[in-house]
Amino acid sequence: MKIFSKRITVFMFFILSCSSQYIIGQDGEALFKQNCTACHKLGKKFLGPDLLGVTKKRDKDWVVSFIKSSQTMIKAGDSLAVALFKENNEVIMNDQPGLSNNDINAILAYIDEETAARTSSSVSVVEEAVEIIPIEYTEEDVKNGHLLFSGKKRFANKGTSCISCHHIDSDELISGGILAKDLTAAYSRMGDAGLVSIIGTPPFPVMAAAYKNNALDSLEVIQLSAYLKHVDEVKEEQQTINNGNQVLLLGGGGGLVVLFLVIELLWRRRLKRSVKHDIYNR
Amino acid sequence: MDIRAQISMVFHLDKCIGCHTCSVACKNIWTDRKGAEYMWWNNVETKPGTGYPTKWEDQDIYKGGWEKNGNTVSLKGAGKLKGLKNIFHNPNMPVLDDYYHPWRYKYEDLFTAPEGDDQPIGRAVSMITGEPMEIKAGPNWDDDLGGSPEYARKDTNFKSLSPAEQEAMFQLEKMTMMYLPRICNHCLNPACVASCPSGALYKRGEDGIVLINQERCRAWRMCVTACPYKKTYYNWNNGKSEKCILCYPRLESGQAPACMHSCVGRIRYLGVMLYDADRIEAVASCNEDVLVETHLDIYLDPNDPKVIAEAQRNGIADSTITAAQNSPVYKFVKEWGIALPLHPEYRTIPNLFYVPPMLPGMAQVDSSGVYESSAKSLFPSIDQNRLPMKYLASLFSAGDTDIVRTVYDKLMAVKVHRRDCTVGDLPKDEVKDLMTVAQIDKDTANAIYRLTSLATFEERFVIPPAHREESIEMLEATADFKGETGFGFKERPARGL
Repeated sequence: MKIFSKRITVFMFFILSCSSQYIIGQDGEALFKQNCTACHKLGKKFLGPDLLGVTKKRDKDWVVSFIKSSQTMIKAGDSLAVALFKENNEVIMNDQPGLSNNDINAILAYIDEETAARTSSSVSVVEEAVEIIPIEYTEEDVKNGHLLFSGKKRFANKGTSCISCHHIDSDELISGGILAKDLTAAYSRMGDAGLVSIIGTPPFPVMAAAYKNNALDSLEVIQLSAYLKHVDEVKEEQQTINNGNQVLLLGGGGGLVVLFLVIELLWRRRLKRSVKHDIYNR
Repeated sequence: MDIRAQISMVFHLDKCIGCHTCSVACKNIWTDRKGAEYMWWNNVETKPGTGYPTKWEDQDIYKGGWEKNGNTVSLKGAGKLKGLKNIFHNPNMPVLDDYYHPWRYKYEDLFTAPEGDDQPIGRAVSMITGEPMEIKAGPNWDDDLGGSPEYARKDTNFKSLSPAEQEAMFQLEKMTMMYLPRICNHCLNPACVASCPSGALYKRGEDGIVLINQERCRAWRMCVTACPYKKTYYNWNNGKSEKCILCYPRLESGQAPACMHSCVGRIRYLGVMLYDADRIEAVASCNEDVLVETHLDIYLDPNDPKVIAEAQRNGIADSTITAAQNSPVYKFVKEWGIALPLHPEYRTIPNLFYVPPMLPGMAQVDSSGVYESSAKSLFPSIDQNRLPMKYLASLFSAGDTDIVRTVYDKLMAVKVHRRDCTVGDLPKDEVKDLMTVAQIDKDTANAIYRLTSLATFEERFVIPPAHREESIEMLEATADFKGETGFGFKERPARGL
C-alpha cells in the first residue's frame, strides 16, 4: 500500500510537471491558434462553426465537455451535439486530451475578449480578414502533389509520405495505408481552406505528432491540396478498393460453396473410407 | 507380325504351401526401406479371402484395369480425360488402411525396462509415425482363413456363386482354402503404363519387364489405381511409385528372381515367350467369352520356322529364341494348356499363369446326417472338388467353367496315369477313359509329371542371356562408381552368354 501510494505521488508529480507549460503560459490566443484555427474561425463559419459569441450562445460546461470529447457527447445522444455534427457535414472534431481545464478556460476567455472587441468595433474588417479566397491550382501542383502523396518525392523536411497512413481510390496509386482516413473525398468534405489548414497544422494527435519535427512547407501543402482536389474530381472514374473487397468476399465465399457442391457432385462416387471400415467397426 | 520376347511365369498352385518365403525374400531384397514398409511386391493370399490390399479384385471399388469399348479398350478409372479430371484428387485411390498400417515391436524395451512386478513387453509401434499403435490388420490378416466371416466370406469372386453355393463352401467338412501367390504380372497391355500422366512407366523392350522410371515419376499415383492387381505401390517417403521389377538385376546376371529362387515348394517357373505385339489391341478388346483363348493365342510357337525368321528379323537374339524354345512356361501354357491367367477379364493380358490346385473332395455329411467318407474310386471326380468350378473360373477364366474343367481333366489324367505307372492298382479302363477325356497321351502326362515334380533349377528357370548389359560392358567400365550399369567387380557377372 505504501509503495502504491508512493507511486501515485510520483505519477502525479510527473503529470503536473508535464502540464506545467500550460499552467505557466495561459495565453488564450496562442492556444486558440495552436489548437483550434485549423477548423474554427472567429466571425466566420469554416470547417467547424463560427466560434464568435459561442460563450454567450451555449452553456459553459457544455462547451467545455464538447471541446474535451465531442464524439462522447454525440454518441451519448446529446441532441444539440448531434444537430451540430449533422450541420457540419459530420466532420469529426478531435478530442483534445492535451488541453487542461485551465487551457480551455484560457481559450474561452480569449474568445470572450474577441467577441466583446468585435461587437464594439468594426466587425466587417475582421470578417474580411478571415475570408478565404479559393486557391487556383496549376497542373504542375497536381503532379507534384501526386508525387508527394505517393512518396515518390520526399517532403522537404523529410516527413512521412501521406500514403503510409492514408488511402485514395486512384488508379495511379497503389493501395494506401489503413491507419488513417480514406482521403478520396476529402476535398468535398473540407474544401480548399480546410485541407490547407489541416495539412499545414494537423489537429489530429497522431498526425500532429508525426509532423511535429518535420512540418510540411507551404508549397507542399498547396500541392497536396491540389492533388486531393484532383482525385476528388476524378473519383467516379477510378476503381474502388472497397467494392473490390466486397466482390472478393461475396464472390469468394459463394464461389467456395459452389465449388464444394460441384466437387461433391463430380466425385460423389469416390472412395470415402477404407474398405476395412466395416471390418474395424464390427 | 511384330514378334517380341516376354519373360513369363507359371505358379503351380498345387505345390504352394503358403509359407511366405517368397514374400520375405522379396521384402529383404527390395522393400525394407523407409516408405516401402507396407509394400509386398510379392504376397501370398489365402483364397477364399479378400487379399492384399483388401478386396483388390473388386474393380467396382478401385476402378482398375480396362473395359471393352467397341473395338478397343479404355481404362476404367484413368485415361486422358478421366485422368485429367482426377489428376489432383484420384477418387479411387486405395488408402493405407486398405493395405495395412506397418508396425514393428519395441524389443529394446524387453532389455531396458526397469525391474518391476510385471513382465516387460515389446509394444507395437507404427513404422510410419513411430508412435505406439493398436494393430488392427496386417498384410495377411486372413491367412489360412483367419477371420473368415469378415474376410473369406467377402471374397469378390463369390459374386458369381449363389448364396447356397457359398454356404456349401463354408460347411465344416468341406471348408477348404488355397494359396494364391501374386507378383506383378508384367502384362502385355499394362494399365499402369497407360495411365501414367508423366510417362514414367515403361515396358522393357528386350524382355517385357514393366518398370517405373524413378526419375520421371511425379507421384500422380494413377498407376496405383489403374493396376487391377494393385501391384504398384506409392512410397510415401520418397514420393515415387514402385513395383515388382522381376529382380531384373538378377535376371541380367542369369539368376532367378528372389521369390522364385527361394520358393521351397518349387512352384515357380520362369521362361521367355514370343508374342505378336501387333495383336495386343485385338486381344485386349476381344469378346468376354473368348478372352482366355485369344489371350493364349497371342503367344507364338518358338519352334515354328516362320516365327523364328520373323523374330530374327525383329532383332530378337538367337539365344533368346533358344530360351523361348526351352521355356517351361511355354510348355505349361501352350503345349499342355494347364496354366491359366489370373483374372483375364481385366484385359491387361497378364504374363503370370497359374496351374490351379487340386483340392479333392474328402467327405461330406449326407442327407441322413451320416459323415460319408467313402468314394467310388481312389480319386474322387473333379466335380467333387472342394472349391467349386465356378469359383475357380471366376479367378482364372473370367467365369468360363469349361476352360477350368479342361485343365482339371488333364491334371486328373496325369494323376491317375502316374498312379497307374507307380502302383498300378487302378482299373485300366478308368485310367484310359480319363486320358481320353483329357486328350493327353502317356508321353505328355510323363512330361507334365516330370516338370511338375522333378524339374531341376535349370529346367524351371530358363533365363535368356542379357545381351544389352553384355554389350554395355564391352563399351564402358560398369563398376567404377555407384549408379553405373551392371554390378560385380570382383567377379564379373555371368550374363548367360
